[in-house]
Amino acid sequence: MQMDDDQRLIKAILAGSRSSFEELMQMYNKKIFNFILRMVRNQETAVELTQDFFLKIYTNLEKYNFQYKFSTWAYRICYNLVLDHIRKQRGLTCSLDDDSVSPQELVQAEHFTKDSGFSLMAAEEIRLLLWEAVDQLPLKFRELILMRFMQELKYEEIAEITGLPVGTVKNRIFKAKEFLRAEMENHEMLI
Amino acid sequence: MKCLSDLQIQAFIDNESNRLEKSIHRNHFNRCPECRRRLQQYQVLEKALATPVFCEPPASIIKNVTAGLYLARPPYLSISVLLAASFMLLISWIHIYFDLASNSLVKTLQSTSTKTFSWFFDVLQLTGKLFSFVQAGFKIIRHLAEQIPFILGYSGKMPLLLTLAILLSLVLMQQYKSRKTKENAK
Repeated sequence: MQMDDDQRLIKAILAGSRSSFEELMQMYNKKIFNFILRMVRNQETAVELTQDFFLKIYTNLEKYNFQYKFSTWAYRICYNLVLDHIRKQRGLTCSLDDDSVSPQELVQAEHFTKDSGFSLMAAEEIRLLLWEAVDQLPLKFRELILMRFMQELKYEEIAEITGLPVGTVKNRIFKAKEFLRAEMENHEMLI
Repeated sequence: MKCLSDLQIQAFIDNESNRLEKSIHRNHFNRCPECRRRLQQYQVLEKALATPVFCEPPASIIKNVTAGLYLARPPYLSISVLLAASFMLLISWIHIYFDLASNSLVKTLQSTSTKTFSWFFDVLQLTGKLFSFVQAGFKIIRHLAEQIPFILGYSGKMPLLLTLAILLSLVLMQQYKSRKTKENAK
């Protein structure tokens, strides 16, 4: 079986190498922390959950199946950890799976400050404002956008992690992008 | 042709549409400025999304996790302390049954073994002696502990006990002095 870099590190960790685990943490720290931060929107909670995630990864590493990609397995653990936390905080159980919201409703439901006085923005400004807009997306759309663009996962991998059908994942990501485009256009960021 | 839906435009960017659809859509984009504008908007959006804004995670994360792992897996020092404690426990049990300090078997093995292994029996005997010493110490402590209720029982009569102790020491001092004077006279 062909092993990738992650799997080679895991072999070393299982053999008792602590430095390999530190290397693995360095590799995933930024992406995991940013994913969690954008999901929970709180720096302290994000730090705590990132720590919990790494400890959980370490203690469950023996259960990892080398036939699958490590990143998918790790992101699933991270996703469940964050979801558990959010559910505990909000006490929500079913609204995450509700797929009936239209982008127009999203625009009406979620508002962020309008900064007028410009029509054509530099690419960097667009990027910054767009990612601010991503933070305003409802959780069920935001999590998929983050997995797709921050974690650089394929639709199939996202479906595996979230347990949603691939069609639903695509549909939600399309809907989220539709909302983002509408929002950016409303704020005259796109011409 | 009717304008393309947002879903169709995104599918075109994502290469999700088939070859025929792609060709039809491409022709439509060439003819329809509104759909072309939306296509360009989605392309800008896609580009901006593909370069996420990352925050630098605090350095404390890895530090804290590593500290947590030290708890999860004890360091070598703890393991060796644990092993040493287990060894001492085992030896103490053996000592209870065989009395290693004066055991004839240990002594025989010590005298007959080669230099390479004799140190082991030396260690065994020394450990036995140490245990005997510790046992004796514990016996004294135990006897003293047994006297505690007796002393506590007499705590109400403490002034009397103190007076008796002073009188006793005075008598002893007197005896010591008389013995000294006798010795000097001799």
